[in-house]
Amino acid sequence: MEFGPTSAQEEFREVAHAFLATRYPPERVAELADSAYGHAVDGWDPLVRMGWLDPELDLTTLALLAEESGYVLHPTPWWSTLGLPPTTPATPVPRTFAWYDERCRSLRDTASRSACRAVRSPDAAWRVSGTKRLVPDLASASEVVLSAETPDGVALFSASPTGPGVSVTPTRSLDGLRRLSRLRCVDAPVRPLTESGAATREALGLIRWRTLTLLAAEAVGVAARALDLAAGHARERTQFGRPIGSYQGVAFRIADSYLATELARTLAYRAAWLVDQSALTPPAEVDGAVACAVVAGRDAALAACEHAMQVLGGIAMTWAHPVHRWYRRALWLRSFDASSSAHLAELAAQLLEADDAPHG
Amino acid sequence: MDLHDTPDRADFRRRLREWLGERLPSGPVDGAPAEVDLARLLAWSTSLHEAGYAGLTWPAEHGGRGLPPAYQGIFAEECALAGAPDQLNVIGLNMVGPTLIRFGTQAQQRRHLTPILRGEHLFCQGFSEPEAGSDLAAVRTRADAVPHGYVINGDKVWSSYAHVADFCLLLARTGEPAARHRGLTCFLVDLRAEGVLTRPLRQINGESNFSQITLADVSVGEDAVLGEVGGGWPVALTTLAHERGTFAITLSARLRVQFERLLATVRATGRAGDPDVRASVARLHIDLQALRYTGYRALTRLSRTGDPGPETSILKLHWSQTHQRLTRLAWELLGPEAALDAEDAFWSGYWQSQLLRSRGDTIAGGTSEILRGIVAERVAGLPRSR
Ligand SMILES: Cc1cc2nc3c(=O)[nH]c(=O)nc-3n(C[C@H](O)[C@H](O)[C@H](O)COP(=O)(O)OP(=O)(O)OC[C@H]3O[C@@H](n4cnc5c(N)ncnc54)[C@H](O)[C@@H]3O)c2cc1C
Repeated sequence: MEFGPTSAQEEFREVAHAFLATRYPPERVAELADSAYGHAVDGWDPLVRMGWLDPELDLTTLALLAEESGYVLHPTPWWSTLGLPPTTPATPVPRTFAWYDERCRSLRDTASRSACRAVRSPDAAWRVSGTKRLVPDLASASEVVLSAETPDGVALFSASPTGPGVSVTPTRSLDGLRRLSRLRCVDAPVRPLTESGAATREALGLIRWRTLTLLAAEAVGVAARALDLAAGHARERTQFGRPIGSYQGVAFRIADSYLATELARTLAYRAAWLVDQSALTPPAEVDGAVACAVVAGRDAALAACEHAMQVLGGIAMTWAHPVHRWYRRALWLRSFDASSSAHLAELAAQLLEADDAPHG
Repeated sequence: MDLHDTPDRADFRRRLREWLGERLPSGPVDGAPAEVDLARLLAWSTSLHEAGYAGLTWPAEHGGRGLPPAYQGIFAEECALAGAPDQLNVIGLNMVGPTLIRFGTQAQQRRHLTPILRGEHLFCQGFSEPEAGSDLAAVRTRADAVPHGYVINGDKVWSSYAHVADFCLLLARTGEPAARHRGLTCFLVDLRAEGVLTRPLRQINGESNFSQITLADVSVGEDAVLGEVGGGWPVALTTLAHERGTFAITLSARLRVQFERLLATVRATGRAGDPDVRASVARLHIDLQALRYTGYRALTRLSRTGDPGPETSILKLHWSQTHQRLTRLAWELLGPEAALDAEDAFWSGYWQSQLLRSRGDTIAGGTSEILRGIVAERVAGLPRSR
């Protein structure tokens, strides 16, 4: 039993931390959030150079990067890209996954239904028609992976957001740094990625695990930043002649944020490790670990932001103070895919119905 | 990261499991655990020692096995999962022994260490007093120097295991009250000495596991002083720190067993289809997983750095709150019959007793308020509130 990142993983994290801290101070992130584009245009290449897109990186390392990214609100499409299983092009491009549509409302269902149709023309080329909504980071992605129903079932395809028959409509988003767009395909030529059936189910299962684990890890980073914002303020701000951190009403909120953050961090690491071990692990155990990480991570992020806003007082209510950027991300994470109640229901089914599920 | 045991540790776990399986044939889960009498508890301590499971992390020259803390973690975990009886000498093994090894004289070590391992010297801890609970530095029990020793007077409360213990690790004032924690000294006091009166206190659930110890003109020799005179505070802190390393593993393993009992109760009461119950059960499961793996994280850190790290301060906090929620949920599952007790209640009143008793979880061993204060100060770097 070795529960903790290895020294190589920690080193990777430290390099990422230093890089992100210098490159994305809160002022720059705020500016980008309020800009037309919502992302750092020059943000991608350094990630490729630093090895973030190396297909060999294990998910625990990626979870550490996700944590660091949540800590600064890293304004590139890193999460959308890393949630997809790695590919091996010469120069990796930003990618995103389009799945949410009129018939498919949860990542769980992606393998069984889609409102988009894929047909194969006589020349053997595939074309997709239909609309996907709530596609994250679509405006900055060079490739979009989408699920569509073929006559034999759902399969995965790759399209270019600027390709023929493809149109992208941005929508107003609560989090200006992770905007959602609509993707409309009309007979759009696409490249097949997986055949319908087992290959698609397996790919989608892995995408779901990766996406949700990185989401949970990012949430830990958001919580950690909110905690630091609160603690920093509580040390500096004086009222009634004392730093407000010496008042227990303030201090205990910060202690509670710390507690929730550490527990969520544990669960995110465990999920990452188990996803990497998924070939040797019963799927129910991986599913359960991912659900635990998501529920705990989101709760921690939201609670830590809300505690931080209370500790900051009036300035937290201004556009100028950065805390609302993290709060918006916490809310975004909360809204993504299945609700926490759905995850809890899934866990309860494992605990109370399946006899072979690992308990406790 | 590797959540599997190394081969050596897996081997240790397997043998231990076999050993426990032979001695504790009935599993712990189907219903409330059976009551265990004192004679059996004493025999249990002896058999653990004979099998080499006492003092796993103690250095070999002091009769231990010199193993890394991870082994103690495995031991604690497997014992709890197997429903093993309480270890009566737990305070001696996990707190007093390591402190004696660090601060004790050779004579003190010779006198106590082997008997602690064998379960022959049972220890309790006499720190808290009526006027000194969270604020331990306010201890009033006095130890006045006399030729060749000290005379001790005072009252200690809430001392767990004192009703069966042979010795007490006592914190007493040798200096002026104004000196606060600098005027304190630790003593090894024989509870059979003249002037010592141990009165079991009846607990909220009717049991008696802690006692009041009254000391009236109790004479002890100079050899009863553990550590320096006036240096009782660091000695006391060391005992408390030793508790933290693997204690969380024990607590979380016991909680896992308790969770299995909760699931059995959900089924037995026909509430498995209730969505509120299902959501609460799932939330408890998440809290348990978080506790369990954060315990492993702390243990890994302890073996890497020698310091269990800031995680440990939150483990007890989280454990106590989770256990309280668990016992409350289990009790509520009983519906109107939850108002019954003892032999007239479900599982002979097990959940009634556990619910009542679990309220002490956020009080004993550092209250939740004190623990939050520690987190705020040491981890978040906030100014002291006191
Ligand atoms: C089951 C059980 C077993 C025990 N076993 C032992 C034992 O073996 N040996 C031993 O020495 N003691 C033992 N104790 C005693 C235990 O350590 C004390 O009860 C505990 O430290 C709290 O002290 P107190 O009861 O005097 O409460 P107090 O310290 O008076 O606290 C009362 C309330 O005030 C709060 N409070 C106090 N100070 C502050 C502060 N600065 N800020 C905010 N809130 C504060 C507390 O959190 C608590 O809510 C045991 C207690 C229990 C319940």
